[in-house]
Amino acid sequence: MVPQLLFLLLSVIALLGAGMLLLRRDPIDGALALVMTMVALAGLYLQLVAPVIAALQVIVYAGAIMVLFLFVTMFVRRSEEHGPLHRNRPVFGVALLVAALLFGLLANVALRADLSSAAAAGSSADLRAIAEQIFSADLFPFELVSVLLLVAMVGVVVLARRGEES
Amino acid sequence: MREYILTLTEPGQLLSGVSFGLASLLVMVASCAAVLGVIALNGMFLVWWERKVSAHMQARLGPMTTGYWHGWLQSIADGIKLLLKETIVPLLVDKPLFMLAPVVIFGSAFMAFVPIPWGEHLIVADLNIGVLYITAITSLSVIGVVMAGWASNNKWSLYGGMRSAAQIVSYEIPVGLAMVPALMASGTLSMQGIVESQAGGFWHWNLFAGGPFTLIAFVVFFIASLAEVNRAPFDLPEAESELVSGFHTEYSGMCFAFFFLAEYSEMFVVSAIASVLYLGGWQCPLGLSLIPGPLLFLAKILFLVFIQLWFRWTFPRLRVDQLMHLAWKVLTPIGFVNVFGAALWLVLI
Repeated sequence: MVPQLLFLLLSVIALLGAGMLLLRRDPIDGALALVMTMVALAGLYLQLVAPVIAALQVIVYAGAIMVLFLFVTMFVRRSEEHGPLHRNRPVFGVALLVAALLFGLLANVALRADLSSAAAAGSSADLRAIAEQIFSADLFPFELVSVLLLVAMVGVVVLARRGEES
Repeated sequence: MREYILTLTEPGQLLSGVSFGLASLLVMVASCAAVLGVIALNGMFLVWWERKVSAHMQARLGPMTTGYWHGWLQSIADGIKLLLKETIVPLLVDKPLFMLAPVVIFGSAFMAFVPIPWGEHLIVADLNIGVLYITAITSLSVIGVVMAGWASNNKWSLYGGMRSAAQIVSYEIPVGLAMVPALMASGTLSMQGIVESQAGGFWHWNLFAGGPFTLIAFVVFFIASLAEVNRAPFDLPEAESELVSGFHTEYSGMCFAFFFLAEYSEMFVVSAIASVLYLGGWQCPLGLSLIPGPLLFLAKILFLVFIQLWFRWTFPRLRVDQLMHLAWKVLTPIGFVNVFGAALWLVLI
């Protein structure tokens, strides 16, 4: 009874945050709503007995990435300029199409996935198991992702520097 | 936790005959009350202590009249004053965010107390990801600071919030890196497990486990955690001389008191983490068990808090560029070298 209620509460909070992110016109409000969603998702991970993922979710998404979003939004903000809603048809139509495609893809994955085995694996996934997975079985993809991130970082620095010189 | 509650409900125990659900509820309420009590007492004591320390460092006496003996009643009087003051909400603030910000900050400070081990069995909940949990919870407080800065609709508050966002995100990296050598030496993330691995005298502490590397890691952790909790010389988000009071300029009464309590309990929490990670937590420095663990733990925490106060009244505030330079070009590289050095030391020696 209590777990179901908690699940319901967390899901409602997560969906509420996602909805507010889309509907609020003030970008800061939107970013804070997304923080709400992230924290609620961390709660859902806790319910799935995946405390490490939950903690990392809060540290990385709510604590670091969203703070950077907020920082940048505050930095580039023009007062009294909330940005007009994109009501012109072509953009709106394309956005709707992409959203529908993404939703279809996610729904397809969610319906096909065997959730019972995933939940069972999650319950034993403590930090040691995750570390062993990353540093032995999945070492190559893991290092590949690090290299990709490094390339992206160097690229950002180069682009920022180029703007400075001209 | 579950076993503990079950033993409490056995016949002859404190809660004999009470159902499991009710017993867990009672234990939760009691734990929350205990943590709140610690936060309130700590806040009152540190306010008084900070005023006394600052006064003596400047050849003054500080509060002397309230309560006759060295003004010991001063912070209780201040607390009552704050409770009785009206909470003024300026007209043009974003009201929901404005009211939510102190709740977020205080909530994160409050929740950080959960996995702190006070003694062998004295802990709210021994989480097996204790250190990760504390990092996660304390990283949420910056959201509250940014909310307060934004919602106040005041340029000083906004600058304070932005400075805080940049500062805390930057300093999270050296803090995290400086935790790693201790975690490697103890081989666990559970706060209680880390303390237990340092039993038997100060030469078993993690401070000395990795040769020079853990010593440096401790110093890096201490410096970076000062920036994490916005203490001087890293108090740019609330710099009184330029930003009035930064992100909490517009707050008054109890809302302001929440910011204050959160700041002092964050000072306490980072000192507690430092002493758990590197100074053996509640273990006795000489390996004896004459003095109760909680008292030893408190003494270590208060010693580190005293160094924080000492720093505040000794070093001038950094500039923004110096702050970023220190985080990215000094502390982070040292942190990386330390992780490798400590790992080599632990494997080879």
